[in-house]
Amino acid sequence: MLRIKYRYNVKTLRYERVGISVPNTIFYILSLFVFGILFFCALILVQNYLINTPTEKALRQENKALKTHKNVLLAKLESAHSLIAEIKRSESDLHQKLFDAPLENTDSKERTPEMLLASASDFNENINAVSEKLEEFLAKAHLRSNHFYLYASVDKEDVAKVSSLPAIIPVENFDHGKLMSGFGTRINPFHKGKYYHDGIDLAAIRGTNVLAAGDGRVTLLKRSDLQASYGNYVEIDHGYGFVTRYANLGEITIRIGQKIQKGQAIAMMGMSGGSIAPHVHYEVIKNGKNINPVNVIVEGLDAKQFHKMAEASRKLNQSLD
Amino acid sequence: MAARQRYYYNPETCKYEPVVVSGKEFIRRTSVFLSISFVIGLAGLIYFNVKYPLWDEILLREKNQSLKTEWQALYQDINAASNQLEQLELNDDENYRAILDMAPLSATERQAGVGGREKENASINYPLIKIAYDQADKIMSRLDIERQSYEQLHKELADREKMWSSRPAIQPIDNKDLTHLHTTFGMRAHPLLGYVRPHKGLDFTAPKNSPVYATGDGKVMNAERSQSYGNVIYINHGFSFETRYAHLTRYIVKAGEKVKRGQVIGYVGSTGLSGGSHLHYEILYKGDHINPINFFQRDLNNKEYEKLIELGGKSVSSLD
Repeated sequence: MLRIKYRYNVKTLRYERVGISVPNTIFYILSLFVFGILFFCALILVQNYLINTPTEKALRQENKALKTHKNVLLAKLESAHSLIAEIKRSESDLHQKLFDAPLENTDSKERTPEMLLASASDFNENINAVSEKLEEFLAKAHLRSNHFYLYASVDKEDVAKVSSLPAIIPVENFDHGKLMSGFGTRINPFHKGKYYHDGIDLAAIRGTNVLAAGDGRVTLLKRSDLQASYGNYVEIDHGYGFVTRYANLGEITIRIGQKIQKGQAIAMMGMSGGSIAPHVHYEVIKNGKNINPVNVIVEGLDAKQFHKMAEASRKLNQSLD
Repeated sequence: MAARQRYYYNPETCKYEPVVVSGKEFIRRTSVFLSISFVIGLAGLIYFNVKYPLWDEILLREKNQSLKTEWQALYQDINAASNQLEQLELNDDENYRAILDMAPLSATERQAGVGGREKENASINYPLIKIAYDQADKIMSRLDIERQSYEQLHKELADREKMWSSRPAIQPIDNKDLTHLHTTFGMRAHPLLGYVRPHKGLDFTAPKNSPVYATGDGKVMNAERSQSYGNVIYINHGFSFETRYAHLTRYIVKAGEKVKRGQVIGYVGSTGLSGGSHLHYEILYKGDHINPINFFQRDLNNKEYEKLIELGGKSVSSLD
């Protein structure tokens, strides 16, 4: 029930009707909003501190779990790391005992030798291509000058020599990093004295194929149960003054006198003879003298791998026979 | 004040009377005012809630995020541990087990005991935590197996070392004493008896009283004087190896004594059926005589040999 309101005007000395004034209404509405905002703030606070929404609850729980389990996990990881350290000590101890050489830190950066070496993996194909080209060329030359033809000819044997060279690692799928013992003075595993090791030891698990390093003919094949010296071993004559010897073999799968091609399996990895581990003792004999076999391995390795292997072969450690 | 005073026209009294706001009226007005502003506030709240997440939630989420970042670091740590473990396992299988001629551990052997912990962790509802726990537990149990494996390798190596140090591997006479090595093994005419009979060992000619060294670790089975061998020492090296040292002028070890490689066990002489001062050296493998020529390093230089003898000599004094 709205009553009409009047105001007493002292100037006119009359009661004047009071209308709805705009400023008053605005003021009223503004104060409504001010109070509204106050209510809003209060409600927000109440909502924040008194009411927990399900999301909040879940988050709180998750955070709590993350915090407590973090400590448990940290403890677990700490014990894992100390166990790793312990096993690593055990490993380097074992390595020292086994090879008479300290374990190299695998984390350390690899040294890159400042030397350029071409990959010789497809050397053979290149040689074949060149020899074909040469024959073609010589045939043409023959038509022109008999003299030139006579003196410029390249023997077929020159090409054969390439595939005869003992150029590959004589173990199937051999990891070049696994060269165990190199050429030169090494420590004998039995009496721990230094002696001249005239080959390299390539270790792999029993039954791994041992391959012929180059084309040739089997000139010597011996089987021996004696737990000393070469045990089962094979010699292959590659011609051109090269002979290779594969010793401490397991089962030999070729016959004496047999023609062998490069990369052909000749025996299984074993540990016959004086051997402390399954490996092949590989020797390269050039003109009757033992040379470092690593120096003639030119196929199937890139420069980096070759250097890694050469580096490994220079370590003064214990040999396997 | 008077200017603000409102009046109303009372038709009954025909007078303008001042408007007096009763208490009830005042309460009514105030409550209307407050309800409206409350509704406005509530509307604002609803709008705000729809439009923006709760402030509390924002804080919690921030905290949650930072915790999760910390967990990422933990995961990295787990990965690092896992990588190191894999490297150790790889070294074990591919280097040491290959060298020691032992079968690599199978996947099932390596995974043994992993399942149990996983069940325990199944009650954790948060995948981030559960997976980390599972991984850490897996690493722990694999590490445990790896540690046992390395212990096994050490044990195996110790056994092998024993075998290697037991095997006859050096020359029983020092090169500087050696005047001649008769490499005849097998049938030959006996120099004193005159008829052909197998020669079961190698003869090392050396001056009388040159020291004779044990060629591998072992136990003296017998040291006696016999008709044909003269003063002879029998050493059992275990692993099916035996050695004999005959025609000694004297021996300085007794039956049952343990000897080391390089230890002086007697002195060269010409006792028994002997034509001159020399050592007759035999190696038996599984009871059969084998040629000793393969059981010493021919290219071992004098200095290295002396070092070995010195090593053997040291252990003698410690045994006394």
